[in-house]
Amino acid sequence: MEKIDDSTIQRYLDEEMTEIERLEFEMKINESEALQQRIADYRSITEGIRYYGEQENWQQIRQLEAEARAIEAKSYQHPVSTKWLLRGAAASLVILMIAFPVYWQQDHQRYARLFNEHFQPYQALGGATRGSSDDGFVLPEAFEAYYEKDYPQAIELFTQASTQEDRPYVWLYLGNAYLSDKQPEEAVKALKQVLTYPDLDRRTEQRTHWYLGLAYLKLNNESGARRHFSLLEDTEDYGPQAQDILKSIY
Amino acid sequence: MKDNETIARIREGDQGVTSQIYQRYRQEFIRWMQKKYHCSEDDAREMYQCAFFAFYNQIKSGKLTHITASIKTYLFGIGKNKLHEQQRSNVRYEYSIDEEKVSNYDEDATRKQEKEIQYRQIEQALQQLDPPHRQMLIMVYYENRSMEYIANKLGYKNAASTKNQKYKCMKRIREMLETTKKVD
Repeated sequence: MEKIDDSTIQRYLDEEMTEIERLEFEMKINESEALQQRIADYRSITEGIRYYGEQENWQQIRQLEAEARAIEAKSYQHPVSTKWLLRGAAASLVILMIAFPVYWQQDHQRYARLFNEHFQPYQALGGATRGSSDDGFVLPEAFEAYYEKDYPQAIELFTQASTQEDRPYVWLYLGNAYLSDKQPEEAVKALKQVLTYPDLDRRTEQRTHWYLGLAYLKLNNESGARRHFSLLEDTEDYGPQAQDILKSIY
Repeated sequence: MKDNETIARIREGDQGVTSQIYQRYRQEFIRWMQKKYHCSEDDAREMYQCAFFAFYNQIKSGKLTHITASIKTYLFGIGKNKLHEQQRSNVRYEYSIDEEKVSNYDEDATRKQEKEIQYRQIEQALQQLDPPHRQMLIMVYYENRSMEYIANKLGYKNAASTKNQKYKCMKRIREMLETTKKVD
């Protein structure tokens, strides 16, 4: 069988062949399963690239939405200066004793506000993988529950799925389900699992730091949040939002 | 700026214009969805993101270059369609309880899951390419740009050398995926 190089396959898929070349090539395709497979592989790659492009755009839209929410929040915000508390502390220990819990509470309120402004459960653009299969493989059901916002159920199923499917994204979704279900401590544990995968891709790693930062905000753990958001400061996807949060919690 | 000029600027990646347009119609869209379709504020916000994404995606992929109506009309139209689409799919889901439908649904779910895994592998392979090469593939297959345009933007000698580089990158991705398959 004549060896067909990859550029010929790509010329065929890019519709760059003449009519005669195309007909001859299609005859070869009909005769060879290996060639059919190679063509299918290239088609999948093309689809995957489109999907990647769409994902990048989706992240951009999410960022625009976060910016819009930040603008909204700013218009409602009444920044409380700590200066008065410090003056009060200097003037009177009694005032400090009253003011400190208030200040502490304000920090917590600020973290809660930042969390609410920025947290949106992670959603891959492909949408829900719905339904269930008969072989006990629970991941589709887990996605189903997750996208239906049935987070307690999603937690249970993703936890099961993590024993069946050794993939970082299972933990990423589990962490998000915990965060959505207001269980930030559990979310931290799940999200930390993502970072244990040695061949983790850059985007998943950044996403994980983003959600870990948010989980720590939810836990009112400033240093934890700062640690993760600092890693994202210069990234394209999360940079502006991370910088915004870091400024706000400083 | 006229609407078609705005579209051209968005396609060229002008973040300022994109952000401006996103902000411009957001509040009005959310209020409109709440009032006309009785959506919650959260749902209306989500719907705006979806509608704007569809609009943005059409522009970036070169499918939308000109409109005769205004951007606002176009965007709100997408929002309305998306909402109807969502309502229809919810209804379909509720009624898909007979066995045959459930079985089709499962097959569909398995296929989707396989695709998702495949796309993740391709994403990982793309991440391993140099950024200009990754950018080139996105420009070819997602943005549907001509080789001349890409050569000009990314500094290749000409369209032929760009195409040659594209072949090499695609081949490299395929090889990376082959290696992943073997490891799995």
